[in-house]
Parts: sequence; structure tokens; C-alpha cells
Amino acid sequence: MVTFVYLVAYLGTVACAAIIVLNVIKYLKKPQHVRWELYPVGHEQGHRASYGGSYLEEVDWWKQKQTGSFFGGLKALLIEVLFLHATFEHNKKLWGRTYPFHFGLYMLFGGFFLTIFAALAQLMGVVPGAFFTTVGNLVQVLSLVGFLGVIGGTCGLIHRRLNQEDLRKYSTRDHYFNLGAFLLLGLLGGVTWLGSPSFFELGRNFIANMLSFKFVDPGSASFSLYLILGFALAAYVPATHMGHFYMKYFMYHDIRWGDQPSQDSATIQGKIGRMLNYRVSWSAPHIKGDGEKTWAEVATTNPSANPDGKN
Amino acid sequence: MKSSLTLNDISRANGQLTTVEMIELMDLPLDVAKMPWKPLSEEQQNTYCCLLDDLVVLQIPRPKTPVEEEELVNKFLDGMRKLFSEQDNWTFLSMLETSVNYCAQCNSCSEACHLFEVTGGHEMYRPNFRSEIFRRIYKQYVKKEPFAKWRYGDLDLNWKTVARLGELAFRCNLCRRCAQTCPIGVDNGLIAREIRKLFSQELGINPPELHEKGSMLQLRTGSSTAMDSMVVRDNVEFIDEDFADVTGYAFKTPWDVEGADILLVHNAGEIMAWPENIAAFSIIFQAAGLSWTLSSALAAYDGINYGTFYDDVQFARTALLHAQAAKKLGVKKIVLGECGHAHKALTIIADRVLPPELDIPRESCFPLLRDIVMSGKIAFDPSRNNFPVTLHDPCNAVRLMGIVKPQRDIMHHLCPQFREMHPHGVNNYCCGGGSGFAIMSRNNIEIWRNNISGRKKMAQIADAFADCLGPETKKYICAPCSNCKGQIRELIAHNGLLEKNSLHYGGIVELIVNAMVDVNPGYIKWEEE
Repeated sequence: MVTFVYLVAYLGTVACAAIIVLNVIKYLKKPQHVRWELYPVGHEQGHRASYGGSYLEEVDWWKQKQTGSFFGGLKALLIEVLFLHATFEHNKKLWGRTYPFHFGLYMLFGGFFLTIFAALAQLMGVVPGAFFTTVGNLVQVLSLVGFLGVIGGTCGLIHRRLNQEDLRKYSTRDHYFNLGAFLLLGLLGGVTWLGSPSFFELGRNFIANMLSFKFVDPGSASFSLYLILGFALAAYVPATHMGHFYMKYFMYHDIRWGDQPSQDSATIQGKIGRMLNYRVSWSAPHIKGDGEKTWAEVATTNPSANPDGKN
Repeated sequence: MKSSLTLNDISRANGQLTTVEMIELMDLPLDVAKMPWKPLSEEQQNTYCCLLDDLVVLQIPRPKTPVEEEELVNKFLDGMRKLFSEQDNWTFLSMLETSVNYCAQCNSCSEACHLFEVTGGHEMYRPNFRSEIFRRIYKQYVKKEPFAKWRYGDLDLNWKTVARLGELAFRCNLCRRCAQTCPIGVDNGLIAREIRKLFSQELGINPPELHEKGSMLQLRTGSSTAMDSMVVRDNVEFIDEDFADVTGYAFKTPWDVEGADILLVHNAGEIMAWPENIAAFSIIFQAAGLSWTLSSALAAYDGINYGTFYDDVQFARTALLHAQAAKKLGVKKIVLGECGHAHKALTIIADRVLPPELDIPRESCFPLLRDIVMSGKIAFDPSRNNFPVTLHDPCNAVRLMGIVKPQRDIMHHLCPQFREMHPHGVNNYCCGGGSGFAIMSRNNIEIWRNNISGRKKMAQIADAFADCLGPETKKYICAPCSNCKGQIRELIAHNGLLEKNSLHYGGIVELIVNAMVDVNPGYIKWEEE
């Protein structure tokens, strides 16, 4: 059982990282899409940012390189991620349930990374003292708030999906399975937190053992189950629709806010050239793609003016 | 027929799936009758798949045999595979995949949709309804995800599913207000467009107004109005003469001037329906001393690009013709007239379709008009515009391009009684004619545009003029987009709002010329609506 816990932890960590990296690479390797932005865009600068304006409001906009504000984009994304601003604006009843859930996860992640930090310190020979006490107290609080948030949030979300007709129709076994798994995680964590002198100590020791490949008993049955479920979820979540936690970056920056004109990017221009040589196999009579003709050839054919296909 | 739909009803129900009852429609503070649906004829029902509601937009031929039914399903699946292929759908693959893979089914987008709101929350109009059917078909039948049936529910894919999903893609104005509200960045409007595209590009099924009478006609004659270059030049010459007499301002619209600074591209529908818009541009540009021209090259005198609404190939063909005309004339830039989708098509989408040698700079007319108005080159008397004016924001130019303020600068400068609609700017509502509906009037579509798609805009207009709604005050709805004007014209005419409320509509250049000191007073003809 002890070895199994560590095995799941290693596999979960590797799988989580691998799935995220592979999905990001897969996205980045996708063909250059057309522009499809939606205003307001987060990186717009100055007064225009306040009403959703764009550089296209200027005559001869192409005479200046359009750069955008990195901090504007970062600020808009942080507000969205940290406060779930769009859900608050457009779906307050759901926000009241999903925000505790997400906030709980943020707290747990915060506690987790602090615990990793403390475990590394432990491995480097830092002696227990004021440092561990401070970090430990912080992790204790973050974990408790996290478990309560996850438990409360998942219960609220399950309740809403079951009882709100518009959500019930669109809620699948997948949703209930996912929420149920997080609820169980919160409960296992909460039970462990209540049943042990220090959740932080358990976590720090486990991670230190994990990093040093010492398969020592994690300390309690509930904590072992918590670890198994937590690391299994780490591998599972990025592969599902919940992978929005990292894909959202691209969905915002590359698509919704993707207003970079091609004239400012030799990379984009080069990609467009390649895309225009992609093969077309759409079958409709006005296209007659045979898998051989390129987009450039199809786009420069006028089937209406020259029905025989000759230009 | 069902009013409370589930996703599986799309494939299980027989006959017409649903309807929108008149009683469900949002009430308006205007004297507007709710028009009952006309029954579809037996011939229509035998010829086309009339399976969704009281409308038939797409006109999918009704399969006559089980073999034809199977063929429809198989072609649809072929098209769906191509939508997810890098070669066939490089243009939108990234957006489509992310919108299919990462939706959390929170339905936060529902309330943003004007169609959903005015129908009292009819399930068919929930932005996620069609998207989730599309997602489930993809996951179960194309991607074949493990345990897809168990995880997401078993959705039967049969010819009725395909036919209804195709029609559903045309119960959306593609205004993308839903996408704007999504916390994740999912775009249900895009999915509606991709379904349209699948039917057009793979099955060759599309609304005739957009395809045969739209993009194909434009590619053949130069314009979806069927005007060839000779006719269009004659018509504009006539407009010049007519409006020079009316305004007392001598002007001439230049054609095919090589090396001009600006190629102005109008929506040719203006030439036919709103010549005062064409004349106003010519007057303003001449008065401002601009170097500019129109082009009589194929398609270059009509900025429309209906491919924007349903077909990437038709889009690319039309955009290329526009750019080639500019290249041939050697102009410094293209300026788009008052046509929202032409703005987005040529400025935004074409930006990553045109090769660098055809990447002639392109911009909206609104910033240029703003700069002209503010420059002091033309003398204005704003008191000539001293009547209530409100501004409609065309989705394509505003939410999808971020061109918000120039129009308002003009309004504030020239219209003493300007007032906003609420919400406005990037949060505006569609006029109800968006994505091609403004040019469709058949099979109950015109009733739909009045009852449903234009309803929210009518409510906004009534609200903006709440202090002067009676017929004694002439009011002007400034809709600087040809499609939006067409839709608002219908709303006013069908409901008698000119007589009842003295509601008038027009573009932004008409307001500018109406305030020009050098032009005879009364450019806006109130009685000629």
C-alpha cells in the first residue's frame, strides 16, 4: 500500500506535467488561425481600455507597430482567474458556488507549493524552528480553508446541477464524477486535517520522502487515500475539459485578444504562406476539393465567372 | 411539439420539433403586434427538412429513401472530420477545438443572447444548445472518445439530427455576445458558423440569399445586387447629379483613379436602397479635399463578403478580389464604407488570409470621418441636427473590431440631442439582421426577424427615446451599417413605427452632411422613409 501511494504520486506528477506540456505543444503547433478577436481585449492601452476600443480607431493605424500592454493583459487575466470575474458578472448564482470551489483549490495549491518549499528546506538540512512553524501555520490555515471551500463549493455545484433545470439538462455523468471526486478529496483532506496533529507535517514529510525516494508510511489511512486521489486527479484533470485552467491562457491571449496585425509579424506572414499551400478536400460543387488543389488555387478560382474552372 | 427541449429531442422527435409561442415573446413599450407564424406549405414540407420550428432557412433537401438518409449522415460526418483537419480548416481549427474541448457547461452565456432573452428562455435559443449537440456528436462519432456514451450521454445521430442541427446554425445572428461573456473563452457563435460552413463547404447546402444570390452572384457580376460595373457607374453618376441638385453642392464621384490615396469600398446595396449614403460620402470626401476613388473592377464596388457568414472559400475569393482591385489602382489604402461585416471581413479576417503582396492597408471609415469632422476643414451647423438621435453599434465593427469612439465623437459634435442605447459599445445588442438575415424574407424569416431577432433592438430603441416616443417628435436611429439599416427598415415598416412613433433611420454620413453649412438644409428627408 505504501509503495502504491508513492507510485501513484510519481505517475500522477509525471502525467500531469506531460499532459499539460503535450497539449500546449499541440496547440502551438496548430496552423496559424485567422483573426477572430473579441473586444474588449485585455492588453489594450490607455483610455481605449476603459470602453473596449482598439487601435483600429485610429486613421492609418498601420503606421505604428501595435504592441499592446503586457501588464494590461496580465491584469485582465489575473482579475478573471483570481475572482472569476466573468462568472460573477454574468452568472452570480453559479459564482456563489463555483468561487468557493476554485478559491479552495487555489488555497490548496498555495499550501501545496509552500509544503514543497518546506520539504526542500528539510532535505537541505534546515532545522525545525521558527521558519517551519511559520510556514506550517500558514499551510494549516490554507489547507483548512481549501478543504472547506472545495467541500462547500462541490456540494453547492452538485446541488445546483441537480436542481437547476437549465444546468441539469447539460450535466453529464462526467460532471458528477468530477465534482464527486473533488468532494471526496476535500473530505479526505478535511478528515486528515482534523485527525492529525499537523497536516503540514504529514505533507512535508511525504514530499521529502518522495523527493528522496524513501517509501515511508505517509502516516494515516485517510492521508494515503487523499494522496492517491489527489495525484490521480492531477493526472486526470489536465486531460479533460477542466484543462481550461491552463488552456485559458491561449483562449484569451491567442484567440480572444489576438489582434496582432500580420504586417507586424514576419512569423505570421510566413505561416500564412504555408497555410495557403495546404490541400483542400471540401466536396461542395463550388469548391470541388480533390485533396490535391491548394487553398491558394481554390481561392484564386472563380467558379461563378468561370464555371469550367479556368481563370 | 415541445417547448421544453432536451438535447436528445434533436434526434428522437418526429416532425416539427418545437415552436415559439407568441405569449412567450417579451413585451415591448411600443405598439407592436406579435405576428403569428404562417404554416409551411405541404410542398415545402415534402421538399425540405422542415423539422426544427416554423422557419426553414437552410432548405436541406428532404431525403426520400433510407439510402439518402444515410448519405446525409455520412456526408455530415465527412464534413465534421474536415472541420477538425489542419489542411481543410486551418483558418478556424484552434478556435473550434478549444471551444469544443473546454466548455464547462455552466450556461453563463445564455442570458447574453438576445434571442434567448426575448423568447422567454426558449431552449432552442440557448447558445449552448446547438454547441453541445455538436460537441456530443463529435466526441461520440468522430473523435470516438473512450466511454463517450456513458460520460456525455448517448446522442443518436440520424438524418433528423443532422437536418435539425443545420437549421439550428441559423437560429443565431453570430453576434458573439455569448462568447464575450464566457469565463473560459468558449465561442458558441463560432460553433454556429462552423456548422454553417460544414453544410456549405461539404454538402453544398446554404441559404440561396448568401450563396447563389450572394457570393456567387458577386463573383460573377461584381455585386450581389447583380449590378455590373457599367450599371454601377451609371447609377452613381445619376446619384451625383440628383444629389448635386438637391444639396446645391456640386460634386462628382471619382472612378478608377490610379494612384489615389484612398479606395473607398461601399456596400453596393446602398447604391440601390440608400443613395443618400453614397452621395453623402462623396460630398464629405470632396469637401475634405481627399484623394480618393471608387473602383469598377469585379467585386471592388461592393464591399459585401457573405462568405464571412457561412463559407471560408467564398470569403477568401471575395477578399482577394477586393485586395487585387486596390493593388491594381495603386492606392495607399482601402477605406470601408458603412457596412459592418465588410469592415470585419477585409480588415480583420482577411489579415491572415491575404498574401503579403496583397496586404494593402485597410481601415474603417469611422476614424476618417471623425478626423474630417474634427479637423475644421468643413463648416458645420449642429443645430440642423437638433432632433433626438441614438446610435446603433454594428456588432462586426464594434464588438468584433473595437471601433467604438469615433462614431460617438461625431455624434457628440454634431447631434445636440444624442443619447445612447443601453447597453452600447462593445456590449451592444445585434439589430436582428446579423449574419445574413437582413437580406432574407421567406419561409417565415421576415416574421422571425420582427418577432424574435429584432425584438431586443426595438426595446433598446424605445428605451433610448422614452422621453419623446410620441409621433410629434421626429427621431433618428443612426445605424452605420447596411445590413443593420435593412433590418431596422423592416422593423419600422412592418410595425408602422414611422407613423406611430416617428422613428426614422439612416447612416452616420447623412447626419454629417445634414449639418454641413455649404449644403442646402434638409439633407435628411424625414418623409421618405
